[in-house]
Amino acid sequence: MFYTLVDFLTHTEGVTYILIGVFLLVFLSFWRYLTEREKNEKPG
Amino acid sequence: MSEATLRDERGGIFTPFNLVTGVILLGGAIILTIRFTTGLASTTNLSNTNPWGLWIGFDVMAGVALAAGGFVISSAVFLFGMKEYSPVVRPALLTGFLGYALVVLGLLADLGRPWRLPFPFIKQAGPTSPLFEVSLCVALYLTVLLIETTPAVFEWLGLKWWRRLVGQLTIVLTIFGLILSTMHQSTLGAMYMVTPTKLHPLWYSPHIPVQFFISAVAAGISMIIIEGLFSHRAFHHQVQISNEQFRGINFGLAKGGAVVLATYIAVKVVALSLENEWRLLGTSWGMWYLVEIMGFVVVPCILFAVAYRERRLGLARVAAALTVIGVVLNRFNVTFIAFNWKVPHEMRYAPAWTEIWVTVSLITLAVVVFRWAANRMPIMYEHPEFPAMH
Repeated sequence: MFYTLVDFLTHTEGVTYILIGVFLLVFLSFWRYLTEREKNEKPG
Repeated sequence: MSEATLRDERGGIFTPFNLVTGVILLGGAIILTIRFTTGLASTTNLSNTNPWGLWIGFDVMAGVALAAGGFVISSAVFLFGMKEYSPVVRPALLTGFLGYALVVLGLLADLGRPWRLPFPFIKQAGPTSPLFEVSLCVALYLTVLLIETTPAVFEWLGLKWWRRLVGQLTIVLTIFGLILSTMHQSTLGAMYMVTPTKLHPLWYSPHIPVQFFISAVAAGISMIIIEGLFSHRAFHHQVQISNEQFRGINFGLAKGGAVVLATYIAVKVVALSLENEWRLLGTSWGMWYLVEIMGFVVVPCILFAVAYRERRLGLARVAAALTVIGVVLNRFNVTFIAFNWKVPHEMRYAPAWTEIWVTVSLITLAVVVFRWAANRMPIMYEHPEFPAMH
């Protein structure tokens, strides 16, 4: 339960920062998966 | 490409293609005549409660997004130096031009009074309105696309001086196209920022302009893949690039699609998080939202990645088709499905068959004009008298 706007923003911004951090880590793995085989091939 | 060969490929007038498209277009013309002579009520299910329906949701909102391939691929080739994508520039620009022309036609069908089309520019500007920005950008970008399409026309007509002139404008036009597209693709979303009480909270977001722009880029990339699939088959006698080169272009687009969709997923999740709307995912609207996001964003994103990594062209095409459906579904949701979501069921909007027929007619018209142009002009191939000018 949020009693003030600051409570709400602290919660949502906090969760969002964590999610963005998780996304960056997942995206790094996604990028590695995507481009892993490029080194052995000529670019399309 | 000899004229005789092209004539043979085109066939006669009464071909099955011409007959089917003729019936569709004739039906569309009759419905539009009724619409313009007797008003919206006789041909649509629109009302004061539901003023925007299929013609805005598909012809304008989805149409603009699906026509984004033109600015995406021309920016990649002419601004970022990705010359390997040059063979798909002309088909993408022609698709973009026809897409935007149909956006204007669809908009006219919805608005009526076509003579008032220039009013935002000459009579009552309203420069603080997103609608003004959209109308200005679409008008300017349609002009840019028209000029960008003319090199093929000038080559076809043998007008060398004009061809050289528009060739020198390529970079300027591409920059204009990129700026104008970025502006109006996002502003189409910005129009909904004034509807927080009408649009369902899962779709409403202060970040909806960013979401519209990113999803439009994904739609544009996917449309190039799908358009390439059909035109590569229909105009195989004209295509000059090797199969290997064609596959390479598609895999490059698939890689781009995977990255753009991954970014779109992140932006959507951040929007949910900032508005703290997680609890709504458990409702029936939440299920529908998850169908859109999981089925038509997350799944195609993974399919694009697998297609690129494993070099599976079929998978890339499936992913492109899912992405296109997803973007159309998103625009439908924003325009009329999740819009007015609190309105009682009996007052909700469903398109009339006449609205659907007109929309199908407009798509058919685009296909017919594309086919007509590609059968005559150097769209799929390099004109022998204008080498290395593509």
